Amino acid sequence: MSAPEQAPSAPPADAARAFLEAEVDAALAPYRASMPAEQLAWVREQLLEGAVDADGLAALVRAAVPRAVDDSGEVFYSLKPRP
Amino acid sequence: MPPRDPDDVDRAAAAHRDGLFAEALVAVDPLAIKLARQLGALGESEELAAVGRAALVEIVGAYDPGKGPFLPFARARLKWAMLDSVRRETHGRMFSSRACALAAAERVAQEARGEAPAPGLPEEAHVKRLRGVLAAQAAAMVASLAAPFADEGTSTGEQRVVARRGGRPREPSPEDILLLRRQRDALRDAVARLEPRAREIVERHYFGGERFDHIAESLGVSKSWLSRLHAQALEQLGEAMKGHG
Repeated sequence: MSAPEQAPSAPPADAARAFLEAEVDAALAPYRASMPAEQLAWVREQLLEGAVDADGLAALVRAAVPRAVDDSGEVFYSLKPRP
Repeated sequence: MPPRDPDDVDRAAAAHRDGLFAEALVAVDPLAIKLARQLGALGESEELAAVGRAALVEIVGAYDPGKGPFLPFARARLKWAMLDSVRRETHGRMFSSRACALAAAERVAQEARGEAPAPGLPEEAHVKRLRGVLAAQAAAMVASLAAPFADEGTSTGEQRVVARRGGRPREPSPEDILLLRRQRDALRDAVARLEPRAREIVERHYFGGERFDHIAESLGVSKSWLSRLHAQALEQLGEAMKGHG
């Protein structure tokens, strides 16, 4: 008997947060050397806030958070950087 | 079925508008507090809320049910009204560039919400889209903060990008000024490599401080179409900036 199909659930908050922070940091990487730290931190905070805001990018972020299902049907989350 | 009494229709429409007004009114204070916190000016939340309340009648009147549910529409319009009041410097120059940065990020987000990849697409498609949007938002916000430095050597320009701490404006340090000038130069190089229309939109809006509706009118496009072109231009700019850092 095959294992019941398991629908991917919402990613654990910490894994999703780590994924999102990595993506935001990647987006800000070009500016790191030439932005005052205080302003860079402010931009980072606003990007993160907008990304989890229901009026912002929350739906896109939910769809993008990496998830995978292994042979046992267990859902796990990969935070490996992808090309 | 007999035609409805016009007075009944008017009363029903007025009741509907009142309902929408009440629904949006509840959103005003939380949004004002959130924006004031984002701008680093918590003390300004009352004034932002007043701006929001004043905009409500127009927002209710502009609502078209065909474009989706009311509350997200109202929240977006309230946010615009509040940010616009800050950009017009009714709250002091210090917050103007931050308000511009938040408004620019919101414009990009708005386009992204309208063009989200279909749910059935592979996860990679969503990740790619997210990366493009975040890169565009980052470019838009950094351009908004660094653009005042286009007027090299003007102390007013330098002060516009200063953050406010503890309710007091803080002068930028010489190191901050140097960094921001480098950032401005890097942005100028990247903007120069954009396609002509993208370059024009970014230069006029971020470096020239022109309003969207003026740019749209002079380009002969609608404001919503310009908003789409703007998001694409910012994605190009985000891509062009990848070589820096």
